[in-house]
Amino acid sequence: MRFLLVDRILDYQKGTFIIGSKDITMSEDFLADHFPRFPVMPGVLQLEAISQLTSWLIFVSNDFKFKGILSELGTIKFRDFVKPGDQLIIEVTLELMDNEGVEFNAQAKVKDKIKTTLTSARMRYINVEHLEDPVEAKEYFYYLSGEKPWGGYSL
Amino acid sequence: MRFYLIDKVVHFEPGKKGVAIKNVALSEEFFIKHYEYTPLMPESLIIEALAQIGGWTIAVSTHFRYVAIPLRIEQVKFYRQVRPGDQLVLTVTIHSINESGSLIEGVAEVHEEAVARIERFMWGHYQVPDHLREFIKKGYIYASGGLLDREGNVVHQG
Repeated sequence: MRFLLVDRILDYQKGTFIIGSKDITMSEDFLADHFPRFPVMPGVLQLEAISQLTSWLIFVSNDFKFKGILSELGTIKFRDFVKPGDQLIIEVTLELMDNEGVEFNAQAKVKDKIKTTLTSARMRYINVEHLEDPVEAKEYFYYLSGEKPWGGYSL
Repeated sequence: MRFYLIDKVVHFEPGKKGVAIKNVALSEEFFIKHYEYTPLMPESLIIEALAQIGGWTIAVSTHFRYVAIPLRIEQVKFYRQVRPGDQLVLTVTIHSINESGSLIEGVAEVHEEAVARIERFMWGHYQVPDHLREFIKKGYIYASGGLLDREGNVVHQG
């Protein structure tokens, strides 16, 4: 599978919040073994989707210079199964933002029903140049948020 | 990728209609090269998704006595592109069905706007040996996200 767990960025405000979506589909490889007769999205991948979305918020809030790496997690609650066909809407709210990193809360919903919550987690900054091509990452962010079509191709 | 192109069946009328959902996620492998700078769902896979719900609709309507093999597709139209994050709603309607084959129509929609339509989709039927019926039924329960009730009928989750 490809490790891209945010499909779209629906809304965001720099330094405050971000909302994104992740579609769970039957063709995803992890569903083959999790579980053979009962396909559900693994909780840790929901956590990864939350952290990828938070990383995008850090990226846009810091002039496209930094991304985030998880450094601390408070409480994660998995309340219900997330199944194929569900569209997971993830909301991340920043509690604090300083020179070291951010502190945030997050919740993931399917059709207004809360499935997973994460409270008082921390991410620290990492320079985006150590990770990937900054120009490409910026283009990719604009593609996800729908502000610019990627590669100049208009749909 | 796994070749399951429907995620769940949301509505089903035996012998008439089947409605399924297919979520298009950015993590799917066909997006790697289709295309490198603009991920778009391949049109052939939209047809495959309609074929999967079509085949299941026929199999369930005949109580798993037959499975269907696509024979002929006529008049296919694609109205717009499908991107990651879209939720495809696949509706197939059975126009005629008998023991040897069936004729269906299929529409794929995103936000109630048609993205692809197959006017005529013809299928041949293969009889399922008795001892394999339960096996195929299990496959359908897995693919449709349905549950079994006490009488052994499949109940679809909304």
